[in-house]
Formats: sequence, structure tokens, C-alpha cells
Amino acid sequence: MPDLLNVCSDFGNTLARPRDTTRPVVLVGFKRQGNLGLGYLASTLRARGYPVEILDFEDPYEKIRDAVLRAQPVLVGFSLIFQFYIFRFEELMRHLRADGVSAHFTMGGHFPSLSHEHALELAPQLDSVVRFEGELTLLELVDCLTTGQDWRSIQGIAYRQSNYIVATPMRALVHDLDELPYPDRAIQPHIILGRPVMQMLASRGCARTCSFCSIHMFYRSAPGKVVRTRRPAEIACEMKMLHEERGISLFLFQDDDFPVFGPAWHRWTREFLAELYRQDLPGRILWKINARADAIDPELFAEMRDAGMYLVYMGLESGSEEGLVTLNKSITVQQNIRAVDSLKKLGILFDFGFMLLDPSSTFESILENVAFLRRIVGDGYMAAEFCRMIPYDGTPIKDQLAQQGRLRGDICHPDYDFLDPHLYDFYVAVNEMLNITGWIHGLQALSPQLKYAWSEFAVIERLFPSVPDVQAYKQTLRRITRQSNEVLFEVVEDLVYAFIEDRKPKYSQDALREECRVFVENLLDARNEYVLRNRSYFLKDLGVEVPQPA
Amino acid sequence: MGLEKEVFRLEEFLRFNPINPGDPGPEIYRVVASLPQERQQAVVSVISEAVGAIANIKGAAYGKIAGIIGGKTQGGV
Repeated sequence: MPDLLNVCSDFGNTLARPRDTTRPVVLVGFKRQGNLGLGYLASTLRARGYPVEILDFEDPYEKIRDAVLRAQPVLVGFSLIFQFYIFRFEELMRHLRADGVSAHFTMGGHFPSLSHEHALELAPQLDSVVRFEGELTLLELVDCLTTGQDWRSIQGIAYRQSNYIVATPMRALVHDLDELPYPDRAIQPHIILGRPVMQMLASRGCARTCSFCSIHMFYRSAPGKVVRTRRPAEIACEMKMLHEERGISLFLFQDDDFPVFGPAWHRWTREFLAELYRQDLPGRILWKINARADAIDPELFAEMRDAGMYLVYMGLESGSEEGLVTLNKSITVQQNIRAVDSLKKLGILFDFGFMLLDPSSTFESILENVAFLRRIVGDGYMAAEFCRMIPYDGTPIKDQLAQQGRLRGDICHPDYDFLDPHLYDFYVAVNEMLNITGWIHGLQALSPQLKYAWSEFAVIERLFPSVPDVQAYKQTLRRITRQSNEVLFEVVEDLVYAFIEDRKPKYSQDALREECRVFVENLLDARNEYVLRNRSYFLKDLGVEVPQPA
Repeated sequence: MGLEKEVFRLEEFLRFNPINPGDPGPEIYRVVASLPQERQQAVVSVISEAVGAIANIKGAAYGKIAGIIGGKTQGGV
């Protein structure tokens, strides 16, 4: 555990400050899939004596209101992770105020940090915004509030004063992440085949400068080292503790960019692997990372696979060189392909982010994108999925589009003009075609279910050694994925040609919806038949006594 | 789906239970997710049918508008 008595450090220095910990703090945010951001804020406050309650933003209003009124907190902190939810948060704050909650209201997250003026304008009930990494700022804010000191002078906040908005000097990023206590994890973990899943963090920050991403702006705006890694031994210790105390078997690293690029981080990763072995975790746990395609080193990744890494998520984003330049990915199509081929050769599952449309798109580049998708997942290695680039607040591309006079929409629906106006009609058509059929988005859509089935398969393959016929099931999954991917590619290509040739598309929404339904049914049938047939093996590997027939 | 009934005899932790990633989506997602799995499909079917019907109405409207103004439809939608 970090040394809490170390007073010569960022967090240690907070020990000597006066505080009154009799009143609690309430944090409100999305708790689905866990929320490490809220977890770190809560544990930091608790380590200094404050009772903290975390409420789920998705709970009914009455439940949130009753919990806040019961707690009588000194501060309510709102964690905004999707900028288009600002109005829902504002509504929540307005109702809480109307119901008599007088606590200090503050908000954190990417959007309020990068667009603090906008956030304070849109949510007038807010007393302040905590900007950038929030642990130490929130702690100091609460300390000031509980002791009646002037909170307006602390670093890293913004607030309203008369008719203008004041932002205090930025607070430096936390230099040593291991000083922070382990995050609060008071959530019911998701379960994959009896194996509990939990989020982890090995580092913070991203050294890259992708134009559509606000992560690097978030970390570069505040002073201090942008990318910081935890000590490998600390991470392995935390994983061991979670495995032993809560049975966690799958760890999803949420790092913006897991530290695997270049010699220094190769050394760091190898040290991390050694610590996992020291804790005797490989073979008992699996873990997933996010990484850039140009960081896939076959030798290192083979070692990572052997130590339990089962999935690599990469932001491939485009199959067109111009698209990659527009998105400032600093990578080539060939590098992306090389990474995919390496992972396939190593037998490591991969998932990927992909933007079919971006501000530089043309009908030709869309065809290039489909060709790229066919090249990487035409074999059914993973389900194809894509989206359109959205110009979020705080991103360089939003500013570029504004300068070019192409920025459209509002905070909840950020949008832009394509260079070819026909592309907007194409976007509407492809979006309606695929959303309505439930292919990529929507309730129980096909692509997310296929992706989940592949994750589940990796768990079966690696953590259920007794379960037979794994390869046959893999072939079935691959066939369904391959066939459905091909339909998806054909639909998009046909739609492109329909626009180019000014004709009607071949696929109707009804036909596609039916095709999608059949794929989903085949997937669920194959999966459920396999698990039902091998139920006793699954239970045996989980250490659950198999009920005998009466 | 032939296996539908049998699947619900599986232990809860062995059932297929995809994580809904990213954007939590409209409020209805939460409501549907809170239902037992055997009741989710019925709700999803109603929503899918409704969305499909809306799309068909919109498609027909585009067609009528195109007919009136003598232009073309938006990619056939």
C-alpha cells in the first residue's frame, strides 16, 4: 500500500491541513461497468477521514434525492463523462436545489475541465468546477468548506463571480500515482461465465495528439508530466488482493494508452509481467489493455499473452491514409495492418475503434475503409463495427472545423459539414439502415453481442481447461462473424454505389433487419447450446459442485 | 429460438450477459436491463418493430415529398 504518512509528497502534504470530517461527501456519476474516476476521488477523501457515498446517476431521481437529503453532505460532486448529458445533470441539480439541498455543488470530468465556462453557464446551480485531475483539488475544496476557509483561492477550480467566470491557476498533475489509495470498488462486478470482471489502472495520460480526442488536451493543459505509470509491484499487489478477496479473474485496464511503446516502457511492462508471476497470477487471471497499433511488438506481446493478456483494444480509426492524417493518428494504414496480423499470429484477440466517416471523407475513402475492414476482419476474427467522428469539446479538430466554418450542431449534438454535401445524406442512410436493423447500435445489437461472445470465448479457452470442443465452437463463432461482417460490408459498399450511381440500394431495411435477427439467433443458439452441453465442465472448473440428477 | 426455455435453466452466472459498452444510451436501456432476461426480448421486439414502423413511415414520406417536388429520395431511405 502507498505510504500515507509520507508528508513530503503531493498527497502526503494534505495530511497537515485542518479539516472537519463530521459531514460526508456525496459523489454522483455513472456507475455502470464501475467508474474508476469516482473510485479514486472517494478513496482519496476517505483516506483523509471523510465519509463518502457514491450514487448512481442512472438511479431514479427519488432515490438520489433521498440519499442526498439523508446524508446532509458538505459537498455534492457530479462526474460528467459524456458531454451531451450536461442538461440531464443540470436538471438533477435544479431538482435537488428545489428539494432543499444546499450543499456545495461541483463538477468534474473532461468537458467541465476543458470547457469550464460553458459548463458553469449551462449548469447555473454549480458553485464550482474541479478542473483536470480532481483528487487533490476536491480534497482541498472539501477541507476549505468544512473549516470555513476561502475555497475560491485554491488551485484547479473555476467558479462564477458576479458576471464573469474565474479560473484559478491549474494544479499540477499527481506526480506519483501510487500515492493515491486504491480506488473505491463498491460495485457488483460484471460476471463472464462465473468469472468476475474489474477495471484497473496502470497509468494515466497519453503522449499522442490525435485530433479528435480530448484526453491529451486534458492532461497537457495542467502542469506536470503527462504520462505517469504506477509501480508494477503495486499493480500486481492490487490485482492479487482483488483476486483473493473478491475472486476477480478478468482485469480490464482502462489506461488511455497502456505503457508498451518504446524501450523504456518495454522494460516497465516486463517488470509488470515479472510481478504478476511473483504473485502467481498468470493462469488464474486474464487482462485486457488499450494500445496503439504501432506499439504492438510481437516478442513483448507473446510474453504478455503468456502472462494472461487476452485482448488488445486499438484505436485503428481509419483505413485511408488521408483519414489517418486528418485524425492526426501519426500512423499509416500499413502499420495498422501489421499490428492486426501480428496479434492474429500470436492468437491474441483484438478489438478496435473505427470511424467510417471523418471530416476528410469522400465516397472513395469510405470504400477504402470498407476494404480495410474486410482486410482485417473479413476472416471473422472479430465483429466489424464503426462510427462517425464527432467533434467533441476540447478537441483540436473541433477548433479546426470552427475555423473552416464547418462546425455545426450544439453541445449535445456536435456536428460538421462534409466536404461533399451528399455524404450527409449517405450518413443518414447508413445510420438509419444499421441502427434500425440493430446491427451496430441499439438494444441487443448484433456487433456488440458478437464482440462479447469473442471475449467470452477467450475466457473459455484460457480459464476453463476442462471444457471440451473449444476449437469446434471457435469455428462456429468465426463462421457467424465472417458471414455477418460480409453482409455489413456489402450493405455499406452498395449504399456508396447507390449514391454514386444515383440508384436505389439493393438492401431494404426490412430485409436487413430479418438478416440481422437470424444472425443474432444463430449466435445465441450456438453459444447456449455449447454452454448447456458442457455445463458440468464449466461448473467443475469454477469449483461449483455439479448437482446430480434425482 | 429453440433453446430459449432450456437456457433459463442455466445458472445465472453461465448465461450470456453482454456488457452494454460506452454511452449508457436512452433511459429505456436501463429499464430493459433491469428486467429478467426472459422478459427483455419481448420488450426489445416491440421497440424494434416500432422503430421499423417509424422508418417505413419516414421512407414513405420521403417518397411522397420526392414525388411532389420532383426530386430524388435520400439514398432510398
